[in-house]
Amino acid sequence: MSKISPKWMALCTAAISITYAAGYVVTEPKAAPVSAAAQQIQLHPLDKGSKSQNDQHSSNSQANQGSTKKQDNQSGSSSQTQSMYKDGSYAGQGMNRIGSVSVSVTIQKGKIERVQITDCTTSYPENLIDHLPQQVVSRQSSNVDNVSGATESTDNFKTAVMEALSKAKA
Amino acid sequence: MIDTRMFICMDTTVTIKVVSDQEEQIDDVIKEAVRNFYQIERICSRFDQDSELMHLCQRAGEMVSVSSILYQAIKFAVETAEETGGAFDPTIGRIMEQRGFNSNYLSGARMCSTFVETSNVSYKDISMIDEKMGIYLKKPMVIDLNAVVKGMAVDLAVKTMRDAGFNNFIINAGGDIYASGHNEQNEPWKIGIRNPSNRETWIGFVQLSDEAICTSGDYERPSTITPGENHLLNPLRHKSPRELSSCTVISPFTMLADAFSTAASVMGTDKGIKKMEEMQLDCLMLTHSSERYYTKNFKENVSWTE
Repeated sequence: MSKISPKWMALCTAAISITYAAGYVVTEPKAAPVSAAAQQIQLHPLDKGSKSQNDQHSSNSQANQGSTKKQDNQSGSSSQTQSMYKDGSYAGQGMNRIGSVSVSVTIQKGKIERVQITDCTTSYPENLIDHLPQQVVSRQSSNVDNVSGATESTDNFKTAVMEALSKAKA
Repeated sequence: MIDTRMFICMDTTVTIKVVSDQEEQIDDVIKEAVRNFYQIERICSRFDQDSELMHLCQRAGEMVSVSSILYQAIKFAVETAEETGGAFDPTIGRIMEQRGFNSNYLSGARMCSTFVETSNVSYKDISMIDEKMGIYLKKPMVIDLNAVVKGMAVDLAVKTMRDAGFNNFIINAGGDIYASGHNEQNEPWKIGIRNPSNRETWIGFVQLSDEAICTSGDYERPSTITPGENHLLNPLRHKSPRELSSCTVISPFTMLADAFSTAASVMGTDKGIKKMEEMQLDCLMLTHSSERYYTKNFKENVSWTE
């Protein structure tokens, strides 16, 4: 075990315990990964960064186009924002280059509460090896518990999440 | 038995694996741990103009009282910036937007923070007022906490799980891992370090118990705007660092391993390893020419096996 300096030990410990305590006094609605406002597609003037927007994104925004044109000045009103989604759990599936995935999106009070991966036969993340066919297991991490690597993106799950969200549309 | 759940949060996959025979309670505690993730994300996301973070970013020139979660995340980021002389800098958000890292992964909405007039901004433009839990930004800026909050959420989830009586589990937020207790075979958790050039394999593994391991690398998130660039950024040069393909840090806290694996990637083999040794963090760096650099203690401390 590393012996980190007292200063960093104190910083980390404080951050975790203060944040932990804060988790129980928060008054806002539970767990939405993004605020309701952000869950509305926003039609921004194109930033430099938007030029190479890929197909997935443009089709997403098309699907949502009629719904809203929220702008910057509605801060603080997120709980009042008219919800796009009906409460409930919605399943979505998608294929990608490495396999198929299923997700379950839970909507509570009109907001995305959580996005659970219910099935994943892709060749990684490796942590679901239990569910993988034998030949896949043998060529990868059958003998480690987990793998640390650069942060994977969620691109492989995008289609599945979008399918679930389209079912949840109010 | 072992119970595994996966979620999507902070634009990555979060996996929680628990070794336990109290199956009835597992659901509730995992739900609570996952709630920590979403709560931190909602407050600290720069991909949501209605997050507390983005509200703060637009209120330069005044002292703003913030929630303790946001305060702690920014404080930690600023301390890391000071410790590394700006090799890590949370004020890079606007530049990241302009490099194509501007899309909300759930809604697809793109951020365009035109209220930021200049990219000439650094962590020195953030003042922390501890007594008031207040933050004073000297200029409008977009603060990027992505290298802090995943680790912070993992640490918080660890506390939640332990307080509920679970001691043997692993929490993996897209490669940032905390390994608590032991695995199903009653041994320390075996964690592979991904091989950047063949991602389904790993270059070796460590055995960890009650420690965190985070890897920073340039191989998962390329820039869609500038060929050859990626999501890592040297804040002093506004370019992706070139030397390393991956940098792994092991520490007792996930947030520390998370932030310093990012910082050390930017610092490179020479300065980075020195810094990690000074801080007594275990570190392994992999260069693009497949050379490996270790801190002195890496091999002994973490039972590294290649």
